[in-house]
Amino acid sequence: MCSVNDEGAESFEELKPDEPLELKCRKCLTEDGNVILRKKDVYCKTCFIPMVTHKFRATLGKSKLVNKGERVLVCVSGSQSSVSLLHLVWTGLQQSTYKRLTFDPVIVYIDESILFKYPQNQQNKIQELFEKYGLSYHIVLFASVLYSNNCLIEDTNIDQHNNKLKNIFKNISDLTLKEDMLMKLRKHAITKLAKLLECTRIITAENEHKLSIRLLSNVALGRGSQIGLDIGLAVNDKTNSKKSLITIRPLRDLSAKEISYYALFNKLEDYVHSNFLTATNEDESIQKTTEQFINNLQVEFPSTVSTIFRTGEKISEKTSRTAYCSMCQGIMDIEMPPSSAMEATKYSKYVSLMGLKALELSLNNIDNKESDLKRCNGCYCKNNQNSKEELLKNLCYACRHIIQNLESLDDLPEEILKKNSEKLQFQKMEEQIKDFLL
Amino acid sequence: MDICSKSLNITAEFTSGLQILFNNVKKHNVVLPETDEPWTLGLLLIWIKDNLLVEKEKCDLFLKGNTVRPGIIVAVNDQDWELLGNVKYQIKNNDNITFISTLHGG
Ligand SMILES: [Zn+2]
Ligand SMILES: [Zn+2]
Repeated sequence: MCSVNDEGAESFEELKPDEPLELKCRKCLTEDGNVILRKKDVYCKTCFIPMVTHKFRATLGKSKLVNKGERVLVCVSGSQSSVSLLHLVWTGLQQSTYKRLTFDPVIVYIDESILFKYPQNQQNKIQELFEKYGLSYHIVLFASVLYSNNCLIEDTNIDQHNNKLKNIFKNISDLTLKEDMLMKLRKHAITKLAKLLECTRIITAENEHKLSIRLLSNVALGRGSQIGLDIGLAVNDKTNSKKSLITIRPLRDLSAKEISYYALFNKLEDYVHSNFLTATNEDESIQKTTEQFINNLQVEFPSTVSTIFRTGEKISEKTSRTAYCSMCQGIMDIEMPPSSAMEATKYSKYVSLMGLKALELSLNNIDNKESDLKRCNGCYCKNNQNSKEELLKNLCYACRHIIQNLESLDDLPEEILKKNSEKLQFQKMEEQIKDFLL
Repeated sequence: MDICSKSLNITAEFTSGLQILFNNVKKHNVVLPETDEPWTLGLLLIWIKDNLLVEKEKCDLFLKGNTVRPGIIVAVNDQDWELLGNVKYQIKNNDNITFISTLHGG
């Protein structure tokens, strides 16, 4: 899948610790430097901000993906990257005519306080921030977005929805899987919001550092074939090519340090945005291990992140017949022969993870075949082991690991189950008519 | 030359998720007591660990060895500490020292 030839692999740049530091700004050559990038490039405050803004605009403009007047969902989580993104977008909207950003931004904040402990008044502070910018915005509850179609107005069943969401994570004990599931649900929520708000583009705030961690984590999680979707420009909705939903990551060429200093120099306040790995140790999850690995390397070799990132970009999807996972919309490796490594690890992980449950499941499988006629078509009955098996069939390797932990599929957002049952119907139909096809 | 440093008034700021290690308080006004040796950033790190950090067992989320954990950015009055000699920088009165986490989710 991935091949990096001699020319493709960029060599690591080693540090020369004894070289005297050039303290003047490399751009204006007169001001004293405020920040040093890659251990060698010194910038003063005045030259640094336009440099970051330029990179943002170049990435956004490179793709020519956003049309004039197009509604664009701008996702703000409160993190430093996201408040910087908001500031960059706002600045772009204020500029003189020929440089001005011309799309129509819709800001969203998804409140995850049901899962994580946030400081009091955080939601109010976010609201104040959005009011200050004067752009149109929505603040929505995570569970409402996932389970209600009325999330923009009022969710009358919020308690029930909150419980569903909490249930999902109660059933997953492994931190790696928990975090992976959170990422997929966040993505699901964002996609749903974009559709509800009639946006055709989504802008998210991941920087180069975050994306390179995601890249390596994805490989470790068995999401190697989904790298393109998770770090590049992503087309989320392939059902309607005319109005396809495209995710754009305009901070992807900016380092974490560049973002931090952009926020510092502009005095941008950031807000706590936790995940399941917040303040956890490195050895508890694949994602944190990866992060530590990259950060430690970065100390000695400042080009680590960009090397990983540029290498990852060269990985392209080469699946000829594509099937997409019902949960994450990622590409499924279906072309593999049955005896492949993927199958083998799947089997061994399955047995060791599930133990008794696996045995029960496979016994159930035999039962199912006998009671096939009694089963209703394509619907998802409560606590139905059949429907779980049917969902698993249409999930990618990594999502299967997550869903296996769930007690009941009822806690999943309806759209995921609906999409899956549509897929099953289609597969059944295909099966029935395949003899008539040449 | 005044080798013996008087007590120093500084602010220490923890942002981008780092504040959760400090009772969710971002900005701390700090008085560093008079000492024999001058206050350096290196000494400040230890002082922060002993005096500001809430859960001492979470210390390795802030420090690693005698410096900050990789992924944490340090600035003194909006200037990169890498330009100031890192842990060797000598703290001055009214310095505003910012610690920014680039770790995801804090
Ligand atoms: Zn300059
Ligand atoms: Zn999947």
